[in-house]
Amino acid sequence: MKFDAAYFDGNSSQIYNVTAEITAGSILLYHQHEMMIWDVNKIIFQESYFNKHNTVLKYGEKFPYASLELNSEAFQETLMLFNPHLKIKNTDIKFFQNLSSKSIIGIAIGCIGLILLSYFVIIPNLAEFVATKVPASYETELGEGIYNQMSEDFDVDEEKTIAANEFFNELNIKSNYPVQITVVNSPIKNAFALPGGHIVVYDEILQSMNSEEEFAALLSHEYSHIALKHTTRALFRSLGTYMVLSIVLSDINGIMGVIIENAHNVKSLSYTRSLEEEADNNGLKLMLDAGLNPQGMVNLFKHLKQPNEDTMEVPEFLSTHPMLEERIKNIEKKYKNKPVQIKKNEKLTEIWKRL
Amino acid sequence: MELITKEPRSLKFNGSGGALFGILIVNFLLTVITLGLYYPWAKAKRMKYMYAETELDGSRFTFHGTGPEMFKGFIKAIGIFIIIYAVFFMSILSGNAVLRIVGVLFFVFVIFLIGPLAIHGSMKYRMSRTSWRSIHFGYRGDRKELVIMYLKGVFLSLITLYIYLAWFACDLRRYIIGNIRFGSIGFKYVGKGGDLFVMNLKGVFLSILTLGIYSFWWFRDMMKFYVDNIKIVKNDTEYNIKFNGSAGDIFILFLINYFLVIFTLGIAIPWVMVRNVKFIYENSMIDGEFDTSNIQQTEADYKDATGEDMLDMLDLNII
Repeated sequence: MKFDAAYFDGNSSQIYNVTAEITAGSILLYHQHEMMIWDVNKIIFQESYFNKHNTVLKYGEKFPYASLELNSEAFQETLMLFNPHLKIKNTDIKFFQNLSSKSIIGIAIGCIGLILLSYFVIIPNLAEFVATKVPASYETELGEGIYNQMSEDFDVDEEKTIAANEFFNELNIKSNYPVQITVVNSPIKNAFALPGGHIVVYDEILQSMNSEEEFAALLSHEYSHIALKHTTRALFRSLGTYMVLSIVLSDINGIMGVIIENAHNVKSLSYTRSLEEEADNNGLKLMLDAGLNPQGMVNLFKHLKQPNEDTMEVPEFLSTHPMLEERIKNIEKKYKNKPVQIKKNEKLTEIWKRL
Repeated sequence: MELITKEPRSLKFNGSGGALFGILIVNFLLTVITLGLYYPWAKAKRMKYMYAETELDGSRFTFHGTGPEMFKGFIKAIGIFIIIYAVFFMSILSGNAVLRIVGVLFFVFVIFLIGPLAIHGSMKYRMSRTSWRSIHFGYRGDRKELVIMYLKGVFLSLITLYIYLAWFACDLRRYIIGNIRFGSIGFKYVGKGGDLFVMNLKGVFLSILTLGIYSFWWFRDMMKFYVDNIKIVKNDTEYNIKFNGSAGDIFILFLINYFLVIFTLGIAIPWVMVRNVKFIYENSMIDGEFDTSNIQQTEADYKDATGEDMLDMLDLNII
């Protein structure tokens, strides 16, 4: 079989119009009265896209290579027929070129479904699983770093901080984390937990409480965020889902962006409702274990519902902790079905007076 | 002897939106399934297709880059970014004020420094992996010269409230395009910063005054400024490229592209890409006297793809 082809020697762009003849083991190239032999085993096949009428072959031991351009559909088939051992890599896009618009839409919808599935289900669950495997010591280190940076703006109340830590110890919670409570003077009604053990309580929220049970409720709630690795889980989750987005938008730099963003926003990380509920439930369990009246948690939430009188703003604690009403109901339902043994802890009452 | 004046001609794009869709959708699925690791192979596939469908004087271009080559570059680039961010975060979380400032300064400097390094690496790799009729492209720029020029440009742009950006852009183009080789063919960029500045100033004002309508003329001017200032140099003779697109053509192109993307929720992106490439090719006319039949091979082989992927990560679309 003979084919018309354009030959380039690799040294210049000069066209040599040649006739290519395929045999077993070689391609013979004829130009005027000359002939050249190409050993088929030395041909470099560029991956091409199944438009068989355009074949470009590279040939030679090293750079620069000679090349041959052909515009014949039968060329590749003939070459394979004579040399069945050759592996020509072709990406078959003919399949896509002949697709009906219906199947294109079908494929596209399938892809969108796959993205949604991985965005909403697969990646978040995978990220949560990884997060639970992060060692406590690493979390403590991370929390320590964040705390050191934030603490520069804190006006720490030393005496109350000591009392608050004693109070927490008196709750007898067994923990893998070195829990460290800090009481800060601030007009904002707020409290939050950092991963690894730091709990920061603003004095304003402390002043709005009426009993030691309420403070115990707050601490056991915040502690539950730490023990259940909520910050770490939220961080991994948003990283994971962001990764999917950045792959979809083929933007890798974005992954780096989210690390920065998260480092800055750990404080204001808005926990999801399910995380809050988890912390409520666990906090309630801790209170019951310590023999405290769970009504304290309900009272705490009731106080938080009332707007801050001085500033007339919605307390920060509220904005990140949505649906207090429902949370109160959830807690009441939980403990009303259980037999509750309440012991009066004199020590707690005494420490509470100092707060 | 008869004097023949040859008609100008342009690059021709033979690809179709449907074929590109096929390549991109497979690329996309494999990239997602492999959590991004397939990216270099996906890119090689896309580039091979786009190059193979680009035709000049009856011959097609070839992209020789491969997935494994670019994967090495990809891993290196990710490693470099991880180190930079690790140093940055360690200094931020160290709690030491001096260390923190040093960390931030280091970070800003390195991010600016990566720009020219990525451009240099990418140009060297991509040009050497591009050929036409076996003649390879090449990039002869010097890394150090580009870094100095780039940092100077960034600095002057910052202190002149970005006024210097127009001159910076022209300097960059002059340097990058001036160092591209296509075998024995060279290129030149002759655009001047002052002209670009006046053009952009006029563009901003008139676009605001006409509620955006002028922006299509402005875009046409930008394309003309970019394309028309590129000269092909062969044996000391310069040949022109002329951009012929009109503002009306650009308006219609954008309008249809916009509706295509919106109404198909992005599925039509491959078709839009093909429309854009065809528009640019068909409107960039190359001097008819420019003869492509006796270009000599001059450039050596080059295989490091680190810059190629760094450029993607920085999302710089300079080239």
